[in-house]
Amino acid sequence: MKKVLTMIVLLLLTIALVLSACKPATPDKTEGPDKTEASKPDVSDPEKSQPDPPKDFKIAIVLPGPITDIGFSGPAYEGVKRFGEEYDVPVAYRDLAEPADYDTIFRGYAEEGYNLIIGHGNQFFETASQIAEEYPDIKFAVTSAPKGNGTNLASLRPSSQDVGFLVGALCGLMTKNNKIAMVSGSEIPPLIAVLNGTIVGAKYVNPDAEVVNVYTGNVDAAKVKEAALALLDAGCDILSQTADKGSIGAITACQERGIYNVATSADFAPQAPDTVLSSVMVLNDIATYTAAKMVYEGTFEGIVYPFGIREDAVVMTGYGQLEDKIPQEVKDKMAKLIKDIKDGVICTEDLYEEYKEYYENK
Amino acid sequence: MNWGWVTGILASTIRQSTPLLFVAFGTLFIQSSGIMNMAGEGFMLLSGFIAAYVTSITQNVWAGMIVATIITGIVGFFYTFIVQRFHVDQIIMGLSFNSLALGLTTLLNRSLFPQDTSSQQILPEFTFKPLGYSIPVYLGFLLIPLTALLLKHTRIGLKIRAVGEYPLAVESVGLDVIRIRYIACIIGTLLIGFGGAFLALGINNMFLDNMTGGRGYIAMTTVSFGKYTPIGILAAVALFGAGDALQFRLQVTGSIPYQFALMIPYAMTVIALVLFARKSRQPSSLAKPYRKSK
Repeated sequence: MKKVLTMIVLLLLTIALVLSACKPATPDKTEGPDKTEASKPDVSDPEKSQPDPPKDFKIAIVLPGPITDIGFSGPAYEGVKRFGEEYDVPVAYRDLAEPADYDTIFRGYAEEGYNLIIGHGNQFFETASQIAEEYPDIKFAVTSAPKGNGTNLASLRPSSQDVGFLVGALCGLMTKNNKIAMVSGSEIPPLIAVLNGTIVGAKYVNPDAEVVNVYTGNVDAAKVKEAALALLDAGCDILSQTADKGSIGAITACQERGIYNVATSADFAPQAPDTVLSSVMVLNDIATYTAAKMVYEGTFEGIVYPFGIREDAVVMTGYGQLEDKIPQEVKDKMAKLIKDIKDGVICTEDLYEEYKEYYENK
Repeated sequence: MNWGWVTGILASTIRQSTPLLFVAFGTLFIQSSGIMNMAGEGFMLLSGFIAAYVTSITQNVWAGMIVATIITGIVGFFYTFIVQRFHVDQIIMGLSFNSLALGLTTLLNRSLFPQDTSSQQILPEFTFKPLGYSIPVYLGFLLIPLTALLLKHTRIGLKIRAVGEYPLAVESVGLDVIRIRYIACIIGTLLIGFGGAFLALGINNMFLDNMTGGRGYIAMTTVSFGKYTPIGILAAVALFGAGDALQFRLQVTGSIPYQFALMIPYAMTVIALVLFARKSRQPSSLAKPYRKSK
């Protein structure tokens, strides 16, 4: 009897270990970054064959976060996965990459002859540059990298500032008392860029508007909610947040207080149609998809590829249920702003320079 | 400084304290009986997930609260069974239970709830809110006198504390140590279950992966910090809540650099530890497995 019970306990503990290690779809922890996803790697499909498709083409992507997040790593992986499915090429990924492993991961993929290795985040820039030199035949793309190397390493630059710009513009047009609230999940470059963009966007459409920001340090939903309530207590009448899934805390705070929210990371309107005016997103999948396509078609260069409003990689959802609550004037102004940016009448990059004084010492 | 600022901090502290209070008092019951409770985190996650799931089906928050609390109590019974029957190391048992709960709830969350924002729904809220707070908030604060009364002035309370201090003495007067510990653990896990369910339903309105974010451990700390007294625990829990409430508001005013503001909760904890944590008063038999004498 006792033996049986001991066995049960041991079994339970084993299950505990297995389940806890089960961050879904995380590839093996060991050195071999060789997890491939596509089922039929080498069969080239004659029906949809390209003019001279590269042989044995394969792509790898290295991600700092889990492939299940909604705003950063997840979409980036979706982009290459979609490319892999459409062009029938295998795609390997490694998520939750730790700095100590960067070198091993990149080198591993390079050794295995991947044609394109994407590092999703500027933290991969140094490693990628070094390995790009050693493997000149392999193409590298690093998200938000400061520059390309002119030959085989390019920077994909999804513009977080452009996300902020649209958020700030909409908030700046909608606020009545010129106090705009922002909850930033943590002080990391993409979120700082959104914050700076928000300040510029708000100032651009409404010089009297002030953006009040609170950093939470993490994206725990309950904590984000308290930060949002602190801002609303201080009298802000519109709120936005960069807190990935924790955004829901800020949105429910707004809902309780009857305040409008402008969401980022993903479209949150379905969860709170009476509160979320619009969601502004940077489509990381377009960046990684485009990079894969360029390498596949041989048009890839070692330069900076921007992915902002102009490239349709930063988009704003419609106003959903709140369409009637927004003054026509505001809607017209937003539409004109976006059109002007796309037509090149307004250059957001110049604006970020011009309005630097407002965010530089924040 | 004006009154709005003070009431804002107070309200924020109350909101953040409520789930922690239940978990801390649950842990108090369990640890008073001499069983170490490292598993608060796991019980909270489990309960939070069940609460969210039941509520999503029934669209009734109280159904979610009650079912989650009861199931957590039942799991708590089995947990105690393993601890008492096999004399498992209670720290390892707690930590492995947390891993199990984290893995299990993440897995179930991703398979039972849609994960994209377009289809994930915010759960219904507590509708009856006198003075702006839902019923569990009041229950949480009612727990303080109730627990004090139960532990200090009733027979069962005395028994629970006695098995935590010196189980042999309890056995020598013919009482069943194992049974008393079961009772304490079941009361404790029911309370923790309620707290976890409230975190999911009363604060976040949905279940999120690893939504507890260390609150189970914080609750456990507040028990030692509060020296196993209900008032002490309340003070410790409020301290943790007030730290965040204060620092967010300081960030809003922009009067000090936000890096300092972010540091405040931690600084407050360290200072309080230095000032008050002279002698810990944990039960003498804490984490020592009890074997019935032959």
